[in-house]
Amino acid sequence: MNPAIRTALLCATALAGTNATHAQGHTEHSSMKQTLHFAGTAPHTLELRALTGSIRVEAYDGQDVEMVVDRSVIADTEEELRVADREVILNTSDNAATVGGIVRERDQAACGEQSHDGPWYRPEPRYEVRLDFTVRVPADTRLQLCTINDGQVTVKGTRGDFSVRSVNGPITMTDIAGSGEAATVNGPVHVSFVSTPRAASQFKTINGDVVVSFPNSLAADLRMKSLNGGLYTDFEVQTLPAEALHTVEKRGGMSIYRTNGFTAARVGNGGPALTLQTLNGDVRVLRRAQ
Amino acid sequence: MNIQILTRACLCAGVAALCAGATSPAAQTQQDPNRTTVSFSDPSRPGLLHLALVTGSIVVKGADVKEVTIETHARPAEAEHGPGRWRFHGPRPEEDPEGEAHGLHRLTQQPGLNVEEQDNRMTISAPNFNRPADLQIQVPRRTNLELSTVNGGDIHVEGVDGELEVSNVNGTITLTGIGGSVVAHTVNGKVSAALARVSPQKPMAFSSLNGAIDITLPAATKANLKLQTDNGSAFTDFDLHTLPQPSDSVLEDTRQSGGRYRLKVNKIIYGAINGGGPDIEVRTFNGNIYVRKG
Repeated sequence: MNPAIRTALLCATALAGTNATHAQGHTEHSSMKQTLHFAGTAPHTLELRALTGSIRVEAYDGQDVEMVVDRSVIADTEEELRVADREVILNTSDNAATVGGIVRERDQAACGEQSHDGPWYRPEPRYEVRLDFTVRVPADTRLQLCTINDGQVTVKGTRGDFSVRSVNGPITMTDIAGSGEAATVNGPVHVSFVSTPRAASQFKTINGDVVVSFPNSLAADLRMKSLNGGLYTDFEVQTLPAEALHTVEKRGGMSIYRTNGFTAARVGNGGPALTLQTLNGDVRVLRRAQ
Repeated sequence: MNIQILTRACLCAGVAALCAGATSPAAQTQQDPNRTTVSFSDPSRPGLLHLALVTGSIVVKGADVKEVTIETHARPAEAEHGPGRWRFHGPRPEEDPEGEAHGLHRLTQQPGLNVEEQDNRMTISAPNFNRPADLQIQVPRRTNLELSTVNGGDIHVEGVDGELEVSNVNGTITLTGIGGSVVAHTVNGKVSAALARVSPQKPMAFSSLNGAIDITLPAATKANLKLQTDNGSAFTDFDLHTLPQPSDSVLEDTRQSGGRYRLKVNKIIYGAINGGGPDIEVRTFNGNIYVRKG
């Protein structure tokens, strides 16, 4: 992130802005469009860290990143709207190998960052701010996406490696390539690959199905786990021996061993480890529709 | 599911692999166990193995070894809901109401396992109650056992010398070649125990609610037998010398407060074998009792 390029959203070029008073308070909507330029040698990365709001990324033929940010604020009073403007900031970065935007609220940690020590008590903000990102990127862009609430993440057609994280929202990645991690907590994870992952990849949720489809040529070692659901596939698989007990801890004379509970299966002649896990839901590994 | 059915499921899976060939390679390795060896911290003393399952079966065999070997057998998903459905097919309709898994293979999940060892006490547990865990464990011959399961499995112990506490709910308990003392209880199932040696002065108990109890004791065992079956008969080839009934009749008199007078006399057969000794209590509600001379 280039600290010199720091843009408060309302100070940026607002293409559209509305202000309305509702029975329950004041709302404000605005939209910003910004073009971000990659610099330096590839690989290039799009980094987006939202707090509340969705992220939608789609590959296109261009060289730059075209980002549209829709911001909605709900507050009890006009003053609180202005407080929200000051306290919820979008920092964008441009002209670098990594471009994108990071949303911060009251200087706290952004999504995916280690939270640092703050005051032990802060009054709850009297506003709700939501930023929805709609972005077009060159197809080979690497993705680093993170959001927390109302955090639906949708990716389409990219070829670069990815790290996609949400907490409350589904993850849907369509016609992608590359390898990486897609993880949420509340919501399903649906991923379809046009080419098989090159390296180890992980697909996780707690509440929801994990459904990943690959080309017929898939050669990989699957590691799958669901606590309250089933594991299904239409690939021909060879089930591998379960991973052995391993020592977790030796403390005060007590030895603790655990198995991780994964079911391992080989597709084709084996390959990168693909981990798929959920707590409440099914895991489905599917052949991609031709 | 009892052991016989499990064996049948294994056979069927094997046959499926042979018949289906390349179309179901998953079947070929479904039965590969997860085998692990863990030591007691002081192998020179008898250790205590504590194993509590919710769903699954337990087989423990004693051998001239110093370490505990644990085999976890993942139960094929089909066997989770009954024998005879061995093929790798999709989920039950209630598991997949929207048909999303239609036409897919269902893979058998590993049950997972936790083992803790401290001061010669080894605790084994399966963290996921929903996955049946069929465990086969080899222990040093002199080992004390605390074994329990609730659903979907039997408990079988063979060739172990020690103090055994074995508890089941929906399944049988079978103990063979045992030395030492036994407390065994199940609710729905038979309890069979063959002891080659009994610890002197150690009381024992065998009980069920719905199931026969069949125990075999060394011919020279000195004990006082307490035999009780509500719907069944008791049989023995020991020379049983009947003893006075123990005073466990229950008198309930609440007439002073408008209640009733109730005398409950337990139907216990109480007798000594080989001159008497510690109590061996054998009780069931539905089923016969057999006390055999070994």
